[in-house]
Amino acid sequence: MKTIRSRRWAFGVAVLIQAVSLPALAALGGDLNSVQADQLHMKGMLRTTVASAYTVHEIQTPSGTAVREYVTPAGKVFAVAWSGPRMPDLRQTLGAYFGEYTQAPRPLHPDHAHFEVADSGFVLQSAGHMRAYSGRAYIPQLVPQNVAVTDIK
Amino acid sequence: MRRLIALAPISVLMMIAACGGGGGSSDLGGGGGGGSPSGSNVAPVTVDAGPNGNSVNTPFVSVTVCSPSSPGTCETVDHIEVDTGSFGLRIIASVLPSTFVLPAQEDASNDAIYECAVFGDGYSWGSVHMANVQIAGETASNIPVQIIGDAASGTPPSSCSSMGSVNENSVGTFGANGIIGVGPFVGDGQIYYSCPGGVCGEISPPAQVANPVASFAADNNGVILELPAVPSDGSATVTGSLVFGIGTESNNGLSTATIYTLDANTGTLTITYNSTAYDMSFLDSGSNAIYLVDNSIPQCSGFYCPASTLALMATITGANGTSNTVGFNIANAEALFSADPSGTAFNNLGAPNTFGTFIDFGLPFFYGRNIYTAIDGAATPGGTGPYVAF
Repeated sequence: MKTIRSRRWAFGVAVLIQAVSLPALAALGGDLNSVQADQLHMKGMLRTTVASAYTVHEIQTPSGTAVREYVTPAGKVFAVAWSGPRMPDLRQTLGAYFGEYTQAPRPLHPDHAHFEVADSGFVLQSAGHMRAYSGRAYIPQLVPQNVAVTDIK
Repeated sequence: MRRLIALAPISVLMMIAACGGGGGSSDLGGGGGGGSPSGSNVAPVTVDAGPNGNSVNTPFVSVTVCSPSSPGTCETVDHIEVDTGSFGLRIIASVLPSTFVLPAQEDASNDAIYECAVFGDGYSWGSVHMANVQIAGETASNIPVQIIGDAASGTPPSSCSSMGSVNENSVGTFGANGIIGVGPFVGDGQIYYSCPGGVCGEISPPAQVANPVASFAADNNGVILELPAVPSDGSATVTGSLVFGIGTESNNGLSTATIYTLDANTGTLTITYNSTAYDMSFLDSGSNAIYLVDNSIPQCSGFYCPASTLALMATITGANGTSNTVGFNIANAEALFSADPSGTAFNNLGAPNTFGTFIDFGLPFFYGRNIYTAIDGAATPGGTGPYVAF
C-alpha cells in the first residue's frame, strides 16, 4: 500500500470545480466524482490510499468519524465503510441505495446494537453503540474479483 | 488494519499462555450472579418477551419519572430496557398519559430542545424534558430525559434521518417502552437541535441526556447487573437485579471481581478471538447475543446455527493490561427457538458481527455473573472508571 498525501491539493481543486459543475452524486455505486461530492458535503479531510485492486478514499469528518470509500480501477465506488463517535450521513454516503437501507425488513429478534441488510445487490452491516459506531455497505456485483469483502472495514 | 496485524502475535501468545494456565485465570463457569440482594439501591430486573412479544435476551426494569415543577406528579413505566451500551433515560411518548407533562429543556433563546439519538439499528427523534428520575430508592433530580416520538417533536430533520434506517419512535419500532442507558459514561454524545420557526439546526444543549446514575445523591459511581445462570435450553423468563453503586453499600462490594479498564473515549476493550485481537470490543447488556467474527460458523436468521453446540474461548484484555480467558457456548439459534418457543433467555445465543472489527459480549455473557460497570471519572474502591469488572 502507498499513501499519497501530496494529492490533497489536487483534490481540493477538483472539489471546487465539481461544486459548481456537478450535482451531489451518489457515493455507493457512483463514480469517482461522488467521493469528492461526499467530501464536500461532510466538510471532511480526504486521504487517498492506493492498493493493487482498488483505491480507498478516506474522508475524516469534523465529528471524528472516518468514512472510507472503496473505488475500483474503473472508477466505481463499490463499497463504503465508516467508524467513529457519530454515525455518518448515510443518505449522502449510500446515495441511491439509501432507500433500500431504510425499507429493508426488520429482524425477528432485534436489538439496538446491530442491523443488517443482505440483498443480492446490496449488503449493509451497521453496528455499535453511543460513542462508537461502525459499519459498511457494498454492492457484491461491483466488488473486484480479487478483493475479499473482509478487507472492507 | 495495521494495528490488528501487529497485535496478532501478541494475542497468540496470550491465548497460549491463558489456555495453558501460565498466565491469567480461566473463567469457564461464570461464577457468581443471581444472588438476591436487597436494599434501596436494588431494582428488580426481568428478562422476558417484552411489550412486542419478540424480545430475547433483553433485560427490563421499571422507572418512575416525576415532574421537577410538581414532584408529586409521577408516572411509573415498566419494560424500560437496561442498556450498558448507552447513556441516559428515554421513554416512548405513547406510554405516558397525554395529561402527564414534563417541563421542556430549552436553549438560551427559550426554544425547546430536540434530540436525535442514534443506535446501531436506527435513530429515535424526540424532545428533551426535565424529570426527577426514580428507580429503586434512588433519585436523579431535574435531569434531561428524551421523550421519543412526542407530537411536539414532529418530523425529524433530514440530518437526523440520514443517520439511521428507521425512526424508532413507537413501542413497536423501539422494542421497549423506553431505555435506561447505564453505561460507563455520563453524557450521551448525541445530536441536539432547536427548531425556531420550524427550521431545525444543531445546538449544544445546556446539558445532555445523561446516565441517571451519575446524578444520584449516593451510589452514583456505577452499577452491577446481576443475572442468574440459565439452563442450556433457555428460560422463559429470568429475574435478576440492577444494583446501584460500587463499594458504596454492604451489597455492592467488588469482592473478587477482576477489573478491566476501558478506553476513555470509546468505552471499548480488547477481546481476542481465534488469535485476532479486536480492540473495539465491548460488553453490552443491550446486545441480545454474543457477536463474534467467525465465518466458519453457519448462520441462520441473523444468528449462528452450528450443527452442534460449540464450546469456545476468548480472552478479555482491559486497557490496564489485565487479561483473562473466558469460555462460552454457541448453540444452534433456530433449534433453541423451536425447542422452546416461549424462551426469552439464552446463554448460548451467538450471532455474526459480519462487519468484523469487534467482538460484542451481549446479554448471554451476563447470565450467572455479576457484571460491574464503573462510570468515567468516578472513584470506586477498585479505582477510577471507566471500567467493567466481573
